[in-house]
Amino acid sequence: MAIQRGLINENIEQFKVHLEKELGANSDLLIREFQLHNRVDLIIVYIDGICDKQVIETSIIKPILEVCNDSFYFNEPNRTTELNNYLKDQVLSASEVEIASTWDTILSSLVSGNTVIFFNKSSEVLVIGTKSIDSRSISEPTTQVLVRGPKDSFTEKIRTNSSLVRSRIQHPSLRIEFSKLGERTQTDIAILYIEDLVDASILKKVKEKVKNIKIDGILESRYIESFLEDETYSPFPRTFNTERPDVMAGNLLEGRIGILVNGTPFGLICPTLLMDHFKTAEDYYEKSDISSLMRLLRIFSFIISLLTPGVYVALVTHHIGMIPTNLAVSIAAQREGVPFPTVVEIFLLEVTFEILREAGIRIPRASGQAASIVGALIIGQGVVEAGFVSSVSTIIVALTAISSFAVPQYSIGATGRILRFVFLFMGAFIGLYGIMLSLFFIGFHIAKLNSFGVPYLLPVTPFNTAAQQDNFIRMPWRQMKRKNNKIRDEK
Amino acid sequence: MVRDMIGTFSKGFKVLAIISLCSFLAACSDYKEVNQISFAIGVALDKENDGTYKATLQVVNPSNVTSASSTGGQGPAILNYQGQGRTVGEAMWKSFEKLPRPASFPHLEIVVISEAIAKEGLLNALELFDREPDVRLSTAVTVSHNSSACSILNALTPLNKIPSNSLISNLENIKKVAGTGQSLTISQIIQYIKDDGQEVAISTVALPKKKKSTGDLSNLEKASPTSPEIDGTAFFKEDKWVTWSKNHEIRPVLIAYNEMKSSYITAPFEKHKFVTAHLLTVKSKKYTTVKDGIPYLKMNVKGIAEIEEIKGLYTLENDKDLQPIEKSVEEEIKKEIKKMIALTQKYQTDTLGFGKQLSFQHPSQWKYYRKSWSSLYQKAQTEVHVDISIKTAGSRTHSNQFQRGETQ
Amino acid sequence: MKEKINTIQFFCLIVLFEIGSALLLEVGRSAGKYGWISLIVAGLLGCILYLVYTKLHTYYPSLPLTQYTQLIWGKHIGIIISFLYALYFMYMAARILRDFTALLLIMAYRNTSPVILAALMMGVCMYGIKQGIQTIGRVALAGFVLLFSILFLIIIFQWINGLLDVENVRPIIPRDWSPILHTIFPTALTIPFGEMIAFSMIFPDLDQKSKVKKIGLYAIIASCLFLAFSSIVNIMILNEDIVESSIFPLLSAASLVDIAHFITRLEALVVITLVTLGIFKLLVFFYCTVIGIADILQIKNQNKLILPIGLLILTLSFAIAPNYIEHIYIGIHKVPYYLHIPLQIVVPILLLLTAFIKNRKKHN
Repeated sequence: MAIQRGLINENIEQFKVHLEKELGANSDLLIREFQLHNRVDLIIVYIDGICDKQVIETSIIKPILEVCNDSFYFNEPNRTTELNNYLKDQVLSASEVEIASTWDTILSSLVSGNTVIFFNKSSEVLVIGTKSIDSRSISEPTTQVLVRGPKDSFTEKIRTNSSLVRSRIQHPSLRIEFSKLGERTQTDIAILYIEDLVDASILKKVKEKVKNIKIDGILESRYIESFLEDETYSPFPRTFNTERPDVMAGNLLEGRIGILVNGTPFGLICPTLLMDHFKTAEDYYEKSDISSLMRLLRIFSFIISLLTPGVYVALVTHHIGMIPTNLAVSIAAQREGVPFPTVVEIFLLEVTFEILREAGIRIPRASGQAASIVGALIIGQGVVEAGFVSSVSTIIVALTAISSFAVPQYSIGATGRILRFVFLFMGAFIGLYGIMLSLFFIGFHIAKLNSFGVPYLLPVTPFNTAAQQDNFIRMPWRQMKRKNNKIRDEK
Repeated sequence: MVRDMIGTFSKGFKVLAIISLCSFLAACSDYKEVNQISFAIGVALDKENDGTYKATLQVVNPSNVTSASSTGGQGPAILNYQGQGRTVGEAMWKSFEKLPRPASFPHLEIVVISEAIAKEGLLNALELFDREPDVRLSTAVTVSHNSSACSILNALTPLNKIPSNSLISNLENIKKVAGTGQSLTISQIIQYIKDDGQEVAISTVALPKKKKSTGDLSNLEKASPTSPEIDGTAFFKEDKWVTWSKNHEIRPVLIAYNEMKSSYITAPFEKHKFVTAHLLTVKSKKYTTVKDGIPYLKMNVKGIAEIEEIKGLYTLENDKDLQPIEKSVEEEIKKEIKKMIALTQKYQTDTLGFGKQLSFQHPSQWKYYRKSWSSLYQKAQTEVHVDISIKTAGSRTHSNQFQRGETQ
Repeated sequence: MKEKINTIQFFCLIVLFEIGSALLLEVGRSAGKYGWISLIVAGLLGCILYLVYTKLHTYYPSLPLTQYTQLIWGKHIGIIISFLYALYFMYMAARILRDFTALLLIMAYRNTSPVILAALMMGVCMYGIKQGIQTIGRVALAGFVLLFSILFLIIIFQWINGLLDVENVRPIIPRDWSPILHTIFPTALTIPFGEMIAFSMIFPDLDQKSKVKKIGLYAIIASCLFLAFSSIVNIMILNEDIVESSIFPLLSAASLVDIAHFITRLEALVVITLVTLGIFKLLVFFYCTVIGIADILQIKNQNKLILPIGLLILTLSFAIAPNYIEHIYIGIHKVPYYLHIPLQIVVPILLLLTAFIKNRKKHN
């Protein structure tokens, strides 16, 4: 029998059967029945674990029991509508109380942690907001660590997260718009922006894209990230994720748009341009000279991590003349007896390193040390001593690895990890010419990319003079002419 | 119809991707493993009695150069291979036949040319190296003197395990520190030879005679091993060797081209006294004019020196005491320059570049005398002015002599 | 909406285009040590030619060259002229491709098949054209900064190395003007500066129409000064004889750099830098060919033309000459007289005269 999702007009027994049909014989569905002097029966339904029992006890059950003997309405079994209104307006001390009349609302509010009060034969129910999911407290960020700067980070709870942002921007122009996404998960999503700083056309695009997302479930912000990017495939990330409320607030102040997703501590920021991936929150909290140098260092290390293996192979196999004689002889001496071609050697070492890195993330902490010993000693030292690879190659791969760790954003680092192999093979194939052609190819690719209509390479090319005060280097705060609203001005 | 033939771009792109994939498999032919090539580091060119050329190619044996590799052996760090042929090119490729690995030329450091070939002409011998794009034009060239070019490369050297490298650093060192050597690169030689109004002078290398077994490792086990030495300078007219002079006599050439960085000079003064001065900077200016068919050459030299040593008792208290020393040093330099001009005049080779100076100063005269310059040069009148000022006298004033004996 | 390039990008694109093969071939070298004089004079004459092109552009601000010829000289003659221009651009693209394939082949990739070298370059260009003129402009800006830093770095290395010998350029005042005049016309005027005719196809893509003239002139003067500077540097390092006999003088000059035996043998780097410059030049000619042919055949979607024209240019680049020596000979002794002078100078001036008279009539 198909369940009719219409209005309710049942007695308590039917209501209970209906509930069990809809939600299954759930052991966490609790139904508390009251029989009030044989006059009006009522049940209180909620799902255990996702609601606040304290609220149910003190703000629902207690007030009802206090008034049920005195109240006029409890003696009138047919006037349930008035009874509902009476409870809502005068009795219940909970902060969110609504009257609902369809099964859809009942079910969705039950599964989201609300409590439902149903009077026998009533056509309406009372829905009381008692959502409370146990969540961890605000803790220090784990992936984006700073020396100086705020130490709080987002949690899995969207309300906490939005409050963290709001507490930083205490201005009425901050807008936080909530909506629900995901047909089955019904995940809460919040779009954050500052009304008078945001670029209206970008905001419109973001809202449109969010609205058009059609997906069953959203468990992490990446789910929607892929809907926000344009259709063209690109290894370059066009949104930025952060678990730091201060970063989110800072970006909102620059005129960007933030997106928070319930259930994950990683918020999204859009639009995001290539250079944004090399900025860290600390750049703004430290003195401008050191943070500018650090930013240049990060860009440099990204380039190193991208090009080193490819350029090394290109030089050694195609342009040996460019290497100084002594170094060339030394490399040749080290390679004497190595069974693999240089490109295979580097490739194998790179792959080994990627395996080690992946293993290092997934491995239980207790056995982490064993992994690093295997990695460092057996693979690092043993292979060189056995003469399988030359020590120059190990140095090159180690250099690449260290530089890739200096890139602050994991997502752009991942881009580097993919493209590194392209350069490696092009370098081996046709030397520096191949590397130059690959750079051209990537150049043509990213120069065309855009993030919500903003060119991906923005302040660099097309060039924007005004934006240079916070691009490769950051000017001191006092000298920055336009601290805010960068995106709109850059565009 | 055209539009139908064209097809869609994406389809074409796929085709292109396949073509490029195939090219991946097809190409790679310039891919060379570094341990499968041999670095040619030096070349020696000799002329045999039967008129053929002999090329000696020096390649590096990498594992004997560095101690870092675990497979390092004990043999010499280099290997020499020889080939013979009617031209330099033929001799070279004949030597390639004996190499176990293909030779790579970008690291070529030095070309040693034997006296016989130098007398025949340098341009011809260097043609191959100038044309080959792999050889860098900054490769140094020297000439062997009194010994065959291949014996120079054959001698194993201490400190620097690669003889060619050792020779290069020797040449650079002698020019930088003593100011008595001239090492020129392939491009410089060609440039100077082609330039009118100046001729080339190159340092020569010789192996001290007597000792024989220079190619053995045992040579390295001595405290004073036999190694090639820079023994003098060869003077060229156009590209042919015309005369040779001893070691430090090349100094005026370096002074004339303002290339001298540092040099030492010992000059006699007063009675039985000698002063050794360290020339720090020496700058010169040349003037050439032609009057009534006779060139007048003038050279002004200015320099700064410091006293290194004074032999004999001498009191050094004020500027006046310095003057005789300065004078003697000036005289010594002047003598050297005059001698050099006389030598070059004898062989009609304008090594000091007075002709070039004329072309700057009086282009119209130069146009007229250009053809007959070398015979004209022989008749030239010369005038040399030297002005050396001594800046410091080291960490001492008077000379260190046992003064009591003198006063008695 | 059509993609536009901004003025800075336009400037960079012109400079890269002008310097492209002129730097490689050292156009002023037939004037010996006075190459720089001929380059500067040719640059100034090039500015006058450029004024002719921009004047034509002001009559028809939204149309490329291949379209306004049809308006000026009528449908039939106009379309023939347009077609000639399209073929000319295609031929020039093929020449550029051949130049740089030969450079790679001679200097670094002797064992690699030239077809692969050229095909890879063409492949990247096709992708670039597909991405559109705006993207090319953006990449040109980045390339401009990178390439010029490399070129200046190399000159600084040469200077540190003490290779610059001022005496080689003396005397500064030339005695014999005839080789200089011969270098100015036709060689130096036509090869980098007259080739600006290609930009009459790109003028409509510029976002600020009013600045076409100013930016273009700045770019031409900047590139002619850079070429003259580079010519002086090369003469100082080598001398006029070697510069004249060397196939790529810039590379010979770069190969002399040797700083502490560590920074040596920079040719490979210079080759790559030059090829990058060449790619920009190739892109411009390729783009002009594509939009020219799209105009003539009235094809809306230019992307469809990229692959066939690209493959045609690739084939043409091998077909135009049996070997590199012949290729250079044709480039110096045939192309300027039969192609450059008519298409860069004669036709544009005639077009301008006709347009001028037509416009006058209209006003009257």
